[in-house]
Amino acid sequence: MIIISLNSDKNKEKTYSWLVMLKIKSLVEELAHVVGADNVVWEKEDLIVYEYDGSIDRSLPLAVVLPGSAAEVSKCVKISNKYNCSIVARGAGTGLSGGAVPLKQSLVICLTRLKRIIEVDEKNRLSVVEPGVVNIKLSDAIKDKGLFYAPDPSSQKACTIGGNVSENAGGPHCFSLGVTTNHVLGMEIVLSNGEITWIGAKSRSYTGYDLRGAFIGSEGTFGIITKIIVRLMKIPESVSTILAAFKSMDDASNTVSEVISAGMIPAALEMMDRITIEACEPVYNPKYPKGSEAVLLIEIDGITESVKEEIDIVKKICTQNNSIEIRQANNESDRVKLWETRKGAIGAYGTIAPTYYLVDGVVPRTKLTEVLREVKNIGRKLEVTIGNVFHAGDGNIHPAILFDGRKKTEVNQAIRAGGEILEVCVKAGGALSGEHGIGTEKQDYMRLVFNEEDLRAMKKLRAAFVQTDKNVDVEKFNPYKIFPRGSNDDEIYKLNDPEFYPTGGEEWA
Amino acid sequence: MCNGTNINNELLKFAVDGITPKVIEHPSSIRELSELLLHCNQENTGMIPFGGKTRIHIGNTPLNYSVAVNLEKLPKYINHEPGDMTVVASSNVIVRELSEQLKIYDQKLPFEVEQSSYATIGGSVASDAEGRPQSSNGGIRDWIIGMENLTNTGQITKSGGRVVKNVQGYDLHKLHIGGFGSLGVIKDCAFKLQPIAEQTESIITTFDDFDTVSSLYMQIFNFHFVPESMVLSNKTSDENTIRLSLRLCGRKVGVERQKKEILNLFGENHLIEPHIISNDDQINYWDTLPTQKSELKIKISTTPLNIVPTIKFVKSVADSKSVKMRYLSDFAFGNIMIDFFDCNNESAISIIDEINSQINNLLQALVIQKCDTTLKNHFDVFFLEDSNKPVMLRIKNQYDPNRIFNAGRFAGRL
Repeated sequence: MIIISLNSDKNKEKTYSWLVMLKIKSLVEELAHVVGADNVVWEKEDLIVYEYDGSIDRSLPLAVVLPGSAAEVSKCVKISNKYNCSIVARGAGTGLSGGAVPLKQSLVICLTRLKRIIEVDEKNRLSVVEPGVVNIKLSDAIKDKGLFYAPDPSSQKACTIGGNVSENAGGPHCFSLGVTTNHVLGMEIVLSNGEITWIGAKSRSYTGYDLRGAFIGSEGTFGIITKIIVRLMKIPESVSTILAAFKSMDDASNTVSEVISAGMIPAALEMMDRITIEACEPVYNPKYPKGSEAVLLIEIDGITESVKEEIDIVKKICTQNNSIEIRQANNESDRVKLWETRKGAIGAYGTIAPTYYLVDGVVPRTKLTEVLREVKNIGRKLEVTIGNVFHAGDGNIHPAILFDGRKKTEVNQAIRAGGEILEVCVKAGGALSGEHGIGTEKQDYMRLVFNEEDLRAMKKLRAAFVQTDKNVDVEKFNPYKIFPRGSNDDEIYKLNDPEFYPTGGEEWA
Repeated sequence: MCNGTNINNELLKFAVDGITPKVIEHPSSIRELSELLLHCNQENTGMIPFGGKTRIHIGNTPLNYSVAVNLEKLPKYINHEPGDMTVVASSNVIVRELSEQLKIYDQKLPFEVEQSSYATIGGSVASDAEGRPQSSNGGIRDWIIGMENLTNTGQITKSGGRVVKNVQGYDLHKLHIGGFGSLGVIKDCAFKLQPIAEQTESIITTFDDFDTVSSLYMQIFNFHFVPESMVLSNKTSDENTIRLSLRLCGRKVGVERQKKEILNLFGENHLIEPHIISNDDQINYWDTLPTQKSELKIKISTTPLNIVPTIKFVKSVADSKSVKMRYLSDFAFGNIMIDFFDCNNESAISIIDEINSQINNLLQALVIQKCDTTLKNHFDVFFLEDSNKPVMLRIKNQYDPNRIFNAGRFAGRL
């Protein structure tokens, strides 16, 4: 039994009316009946933890429920329908585009209790997992079988596979192996009416529309994932990593192009610029050569003989492009050392500024040099510091705009710089996002790429997944995300609702 | 509106399951195609788009077929960006033409389709052509990064992008891959590419029993490398010998190493000397491998471990009806293509019913790719699962409420 005091000062702060409070009380009690009182969060100080993710937007949820099974998720969805309440599914909250920020005072369904690895089918190289399984824990669990799960976002020590599927996450090693959509075979999902169903299959081929493919990357707007069938890969026989330092970004970018032109698809091809190098130096002490303007991390894997040959070619290309130092790691501990700065680079930005805004644009690989120059110009023009650490192999740039989040003017400048960078990416023939998704962060930039007809076609897909009735509208799941505000269908999609407030600007004031 | 052709002989060339269209349209611009679609939608006129006609036989019998739309005369374009390893090709580009273009830069489409001299990009994508077996690369779905389509109102919509990695909005193009043109007409597709390997060689060996081959290919599957193709087949329907074909590719040193390990494994198992082919010989070998014309052809999708039990099961069913069959399985991908010979409709119905009873047990999906038209009255040739029908129906209703695109032909007779 949950006791909600309607007189509580805490609840008054939420400025809910008595009628609304009675509804919340009733909703929370019904949810608690399904999942247990300990698994429902409703007091403001507890809800604050769920108001944000890795982006800069915030919004307080109505309540949070932590179901322990697909059946419980289904019941929670049905209860929410009774209260005409929208839902935001949440994993670890590591997303960087505001995908887990609960707008429209939604009920958050937090899936972190669904963390079982249900099945590992070594022979068929697949695994069935629950959405709350932390990405790296799956690879850890199957390592002794010689297998791994390929998508490896930088947050893989914390992010969940359910969240990865929702955002179609990538990672450094997705250059050669593909992103999440290439590694998910099927899913069990809960639809808006609470129905539990499977899409996709254990085989790689199936009949009918590719509902699985459409669902992956839909940012939680179609339904809730409760089980996932993932493909597993064989751990390569041999892995070799080199780190090459350059005196100019152009030399490093040319190296990237020449490696690809030589007919190689490295397992990873990452780049860091001078600002990132300087941020990392005091934290990880990698002792990069003085005057380094760029560092490349190139990893080759596969059959031992091929790896050896390709690494030699890569080193030759680096040297031809004026690399000032090349370090090579052929064993696991040396590899970990080389990767340490890359994987920890974002955290190291704290040595420069207290807050960062990580942009996620993609550009054609051949335009990397000119786009990076443009990014630098934007930083100079708007007087913001921008570091670059990114997946050079697939042109997925991550300019990190460094600022003080306590200062409104700096926040505004950061948001402006992010927007201008995305415009440059699109102008170069690229994309708004490579792996973080659109969420709230980039929804207003969608028109840079898509016209009204494109957006309408996308909305039709959402309307096909979300069965509407008098209590369920098409924005049932993760409302007010992806689509730009002010589109022609706003009346249907309620995007002009006064309650809609991505809180980036105001909250930071 | 473009001028239609209504000469009877011409109409017969565009017949589907014995149904001839009333008119054939040959739009020569996207604008003409757009106007045609709008007109069809306004008049509730059913249409079927045509590419190279290599897979037009797959599907249920059309319910509303008045207009054949031949896409051949539309503007043809290939925008290849070798440095980015991407290409955008209009739907009417012939697959082989595109491959030749990419070859100039030592690049290739990471998938291969049958009859590539006739098959178009649009048709191959719309039918998710399984083509030549490619265990390690996956299928067409894995390599498309974006697409432009024409809707029922003739509007052009796009999804995805032109760069190798993009997550921006919904991946609508996933619905068109394998959607058999039931949601719109594909205008063009953007693909990720692969470099052509330095070396490619194939190893072919034969076995008399399934148990030996089953154990061996599981061992190969567990090597640190996966051969680009792993195929189990019987050479002809008259032959019981099981043939294992492996295609290895990569750097020369890598291929040598793969070859050495596989030959060692065969040696340890006292197998007869396998046949090793390279260069043009092996290209011809893989080109002709899938070809054997039959009147009844099915595709089964399953997991790697269930490949052999499924083939054995289907063979026992076929044997019990005295029907000959030829199978070809793409091992790691999990597809089995089976042709049946000398099979009357009664036997065919009985065989299909028995195979269908194993869905969700031995196999995950079944599609009749080719059969006598009368058989299509008995089955939804896609055997769509009931659980997915409501969402798929709503998708069809959203994008094609007047049922003009390939009406009745897709899964669930959508």
